[in-house]
Amino acid sequence: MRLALLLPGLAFLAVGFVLPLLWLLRISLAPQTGDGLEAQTYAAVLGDPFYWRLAGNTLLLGAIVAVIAVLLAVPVGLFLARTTSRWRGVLVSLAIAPLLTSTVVRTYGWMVILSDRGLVNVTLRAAGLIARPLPLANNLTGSVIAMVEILMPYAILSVLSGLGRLQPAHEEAAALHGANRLRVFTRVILPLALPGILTALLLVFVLAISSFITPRLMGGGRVFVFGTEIYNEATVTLNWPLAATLAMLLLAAFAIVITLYGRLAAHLSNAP
Amino acid sequence: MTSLPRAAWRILIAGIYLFLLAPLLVVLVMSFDTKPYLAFPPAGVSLASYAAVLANADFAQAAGASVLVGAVVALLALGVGVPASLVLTRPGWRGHAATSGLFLSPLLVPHIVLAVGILLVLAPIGLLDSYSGLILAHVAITIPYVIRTVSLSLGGIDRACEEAARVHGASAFTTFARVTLPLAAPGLIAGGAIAFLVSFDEAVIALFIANSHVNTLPLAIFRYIEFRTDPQIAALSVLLILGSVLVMLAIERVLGLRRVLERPAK
Amino acid sequence: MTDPYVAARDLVKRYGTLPPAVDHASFTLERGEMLALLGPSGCGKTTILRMIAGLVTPTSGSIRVAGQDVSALPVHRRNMGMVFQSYALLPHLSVADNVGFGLAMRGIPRAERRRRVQAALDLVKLGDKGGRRITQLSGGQQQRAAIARSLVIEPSLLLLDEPLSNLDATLRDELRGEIRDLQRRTGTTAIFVTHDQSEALAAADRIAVMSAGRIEQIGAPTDIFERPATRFVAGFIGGGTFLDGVAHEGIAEIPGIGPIRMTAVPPDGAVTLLLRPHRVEFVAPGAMPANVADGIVESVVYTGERVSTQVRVGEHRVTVNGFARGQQKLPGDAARLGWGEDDVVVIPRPTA
Repeated sequence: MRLALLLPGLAFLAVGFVLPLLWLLRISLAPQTGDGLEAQTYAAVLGDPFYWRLAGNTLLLGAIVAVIAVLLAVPVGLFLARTTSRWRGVLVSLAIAPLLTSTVVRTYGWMVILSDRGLVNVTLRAAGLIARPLPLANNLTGSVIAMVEILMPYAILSVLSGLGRLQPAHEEAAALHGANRLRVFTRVILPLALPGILTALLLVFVLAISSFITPRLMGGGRVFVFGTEIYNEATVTLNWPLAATLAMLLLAAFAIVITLYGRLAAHLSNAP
Repeated sequence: MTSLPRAAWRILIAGIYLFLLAPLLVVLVMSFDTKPYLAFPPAGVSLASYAAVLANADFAQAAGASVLVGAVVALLALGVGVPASLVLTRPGWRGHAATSGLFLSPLLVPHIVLAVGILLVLAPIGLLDSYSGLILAHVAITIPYVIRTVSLSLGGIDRACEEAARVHGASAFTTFARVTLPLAAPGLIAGGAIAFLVSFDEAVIALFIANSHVNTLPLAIFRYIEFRTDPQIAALSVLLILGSVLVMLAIERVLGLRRVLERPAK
Repeated sequence: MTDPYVAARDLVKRYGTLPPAVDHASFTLERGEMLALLGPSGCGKTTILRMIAGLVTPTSGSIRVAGQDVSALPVHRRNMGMVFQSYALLPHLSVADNVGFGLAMRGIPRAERRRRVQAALDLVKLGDKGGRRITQLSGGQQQRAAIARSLVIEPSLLLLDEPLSNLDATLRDELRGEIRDLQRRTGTTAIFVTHDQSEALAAADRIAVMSAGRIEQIGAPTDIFERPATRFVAGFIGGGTFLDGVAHEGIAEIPGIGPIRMTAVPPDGAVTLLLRPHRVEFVAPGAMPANVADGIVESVVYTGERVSTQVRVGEHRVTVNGFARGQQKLPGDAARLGWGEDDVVVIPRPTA
């Protein structure tokens, strides 16, 4: 009976999820001609400095986006966790609702804001602060800004979850025992918030390194990350083994980061 | 609390919120613009872009396809996720943890990786550039969300209600239909709504497998703005956002957005 | 000799390798009787109830109701009613629809359903609440609706799983009385589970006292209280002071107190006597009770109407409960305790 209820779900997952991943592995090991399995594409990729630069770019972009996004998410998370306003629910929803709109639309919005004749430049010129438009779009800068905003709700969610255990009683108790405001922050709030912050960093990082739409639209052809490269190989160049190999490498990076995080989180939760 | 005075703190938070919502707000403003190119501030206010969008056959077809695909995905995800949740909310059998993990695992794989995999699977069987392939992929990625929301609802049901129904004469199936389903309704509605929304907004997988035949709203917008950026697309985007917001409000009403979107902490 | 209406024989429930939750429990019930399954949490009483309902499958043993072996029947065909601790009413149905649920399942036509539901609601004093939603009822009212739901189908057996535990104290007494009243009036055979001894003593025709999966004693409330079969039953119901000693030729000798005079005849050898707290008194000047013991007061607990005093007599601590009358004793005071020959209970030795 149990099996009968699980079967439809398992079937869909098998065909729509497991099979594609297995096929990905298989194609990544496909030789250029003929049948069989070879790791030659992997060898080619790992031996090519271009791909190492690509990886470096991707990881660097991911790290920058993660750090900035979390830096901005922490104040918001702190605010939402401690506010007693009756608008709290609305504010939380407002912070995470953007997640349920399409990335394409949000990226387009940034194109409008950051382009040469977009909101930022027009305002700054009108205020007389700059003479020529700042190059904020069609490059790395624009990509970073857009990705930070797009992924920030995930960071806010994680920080908020992490701070879920924080109660006013914690801060009050600390204050009663003689801690000044800075001390309360570093000794009470920060340790409780740390797991949430780390989760946020991890989440934004892994999402950023697998990003494709935003780097492609905001990068103006100048931003090369794994995502854009995979897309090119899969749909333009049609070099499927290469696309598959790159995708597998991305997946591997994912797995490594998540495992490292798991170890770190376990280690942290053992600490006092 | 840091040593910043309250006002400065509030301004900081407001500023971050503004940053967070900026693109959506800007798109909204742009959609009323009359200039045919990407510039700010808008020259005038008019609904011309909306008229143009609604009259555009391609966009209409894309919108229709997105809604249809979303609806099918939602129904399939529910049809598959509800029975699975029934099993997964009763622990104590061998393989429970593993099966649970399997059903939630699509959340751990980046869409772009899955997109390539789907591409490779569909190509040899001729389903590339087909709506069936898209629906298949979308169901796979939305199953975890449905299972989460439905399980949440199911977990909140007092087991005694189901037992009372059984003792007083309801068969197992009647209990499911007359007691379990109505009590779990919020989770089902939220799950279906989320599945619809994820599919409706999804662009990555669609980009990989679509060619000349498949067209969805996010896809249409993406292709358009790769080369052009006139306000017409802003109007289209606003319609997309509007659709999302309506569904979101329904979810919030019924279950609460936050519980639905939290990713499992690994 | 006709078969009893309900007969449970040698019920066993084992989960994996753990000690059995129910360990060879047997009991019978006559038609129209109310049996209480009484014991501390984890003793297996709820498991037995759920086995009778069919919600739990017995590992072994049989259950017969009205001459029929019910273990072959699925839950929904046993024609029983059940009242739960959490009321278990369906929030998306009205009160009347909840009460009529069992009738609807049996295919009773709507007109007759409505009539019988209204009669049941009147019986539990919710006559005007049929159209309300469950959330509009108080806890006590919800439980009454749940009782109506079970009674309206005229079940062969009514099962109640700690029906009063979710209610506050005053409501508990009131509803307990109502349940007993309803059960008697409708002639419904019932089994109810509770951990509260006063509930069991007040409401049941017979009580089965359970501990660790076994039934220690079954009997009428007076039997259970006056003639406990084991030390556990004596301690769980009524409590008191246990005195261990040795008996020889009818005389029991308790170290620190001396020979005890009593009407009951203790068997030779090691013996345990029970002194119920309300049967021991402080000896008034001039009185000459059959048994006397001197000691020092250790603690006094005053609860308005009553006073509970602990008195140390040698190595024993005797509990004395009485009404608060006159001067209270204080800790440290000397006290003389006295009790009559009829006030001592002999606890039977455990059979191997």
